[in-house]
Amino acid sequence: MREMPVNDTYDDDGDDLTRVDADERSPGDELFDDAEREPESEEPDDEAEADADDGDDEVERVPVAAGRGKDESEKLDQYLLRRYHLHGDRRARDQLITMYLPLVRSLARRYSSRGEHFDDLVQVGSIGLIKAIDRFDLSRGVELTTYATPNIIGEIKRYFRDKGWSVRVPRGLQELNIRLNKVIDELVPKLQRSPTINEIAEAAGATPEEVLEALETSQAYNSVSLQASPNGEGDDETGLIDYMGTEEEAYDTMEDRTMLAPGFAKLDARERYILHLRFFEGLTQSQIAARVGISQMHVSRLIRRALEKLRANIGEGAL
Amino acid sequence: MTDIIRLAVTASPAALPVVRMVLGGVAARVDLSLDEIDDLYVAVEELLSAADGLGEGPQHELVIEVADDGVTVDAGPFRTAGLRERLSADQPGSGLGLRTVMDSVVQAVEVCRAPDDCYRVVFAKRRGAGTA
Repeated sequence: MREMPVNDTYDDDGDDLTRVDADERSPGDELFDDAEREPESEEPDDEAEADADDGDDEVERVPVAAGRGKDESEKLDQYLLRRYHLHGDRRARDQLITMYLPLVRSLARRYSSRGEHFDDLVQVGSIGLIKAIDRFDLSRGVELTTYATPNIIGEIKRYFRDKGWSVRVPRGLQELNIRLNKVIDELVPKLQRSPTINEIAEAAGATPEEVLEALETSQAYNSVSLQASPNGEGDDETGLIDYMGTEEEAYDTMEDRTMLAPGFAKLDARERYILHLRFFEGLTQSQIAARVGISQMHVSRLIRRALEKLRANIGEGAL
Repeated sequence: MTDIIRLAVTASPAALPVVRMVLGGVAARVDLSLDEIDDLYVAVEELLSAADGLGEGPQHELVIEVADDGVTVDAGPFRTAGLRERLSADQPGSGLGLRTVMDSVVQAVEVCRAPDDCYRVVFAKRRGAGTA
């Protein structure tokens, strides 16, 4: 029986092979847990056995071997791709997805300073990875990494372009808005306070008017709710909020004071937490951003959106 | 030096971007920080949205006073008892009411008498001043 590693994969740079420990799995990895529990393919065994060159063992029974080189990695990719494309072996597909998730995380990290949560981008990038695996053409002789990388990046970019902006915003303003996000995140720790518009403008190489206009466009920006379940299905009680590093004690206090108030029940956990920090704990937006691990601009949007929801949910006479 | 800017907008959510742009430009001139400007936005949005919800209008007038150390906003005229009630202290356990929001993001929130049985709401945002 051929020995094939099942858990070795690319590291975050996408170029070295390393072992991925279970502890290092990101929340986005849960996306694939259900798929991994799918029943085995009902493909006739004789067809699998006929392909002796590819090995006739089930993928999950292939032993793990550490320290595999790049050539071996390519062989494993080809083996799994053939298992999936020629024999419909879903487990081979799932294994490829798991193996290449660190590559998705690496690429998502490049875009995580643009105002979207890293885990959201990992989920979107994962869709690109799955598309790449599904559309891979065995006859073209290219490596999966070569084919998957532009697919993953394309999916992330498409997410920013198509789903991020709820109204038409000129491209120049979109780009400035994205740049400002980064500039603000750099200025806050440097100045140890929230920057002024003039400081932001100087750092971004823009005028104060342009900065104000670009900041205004961020109100037209939609972000995927982190309350959405990681697998995108509505019946999952676990949202991405549950993976955020929050202080449990503070969270409990917030629940005591506001959970029973009208309208709050309709807010998701992160919105309640952020409103609590701003209006009951008195933290500034920059302080909340640092505590929660998202950008100031994102905090701003979340506060405004949560207040809007509160108004809508509470209705007349309650707020 | 004190500048006064008068802005009259339709009582509609569609007017809020215009209000934000004007306020932002004014606040940037006196070097309010990004957090402080956003607080100012929240205060105006919450006040005007609450007013709109209660049928105040058809126009809102904002008088923006620009001082060296910050901005004072005088909004009105308002007539409804409902808005005045919401601007009084929130009841314990009532959650995040308008008054709590306003006190959290701006300073010196006051309801002032105006002609014709109306009232105006005045609040300030000072540079570097903490909020509640």
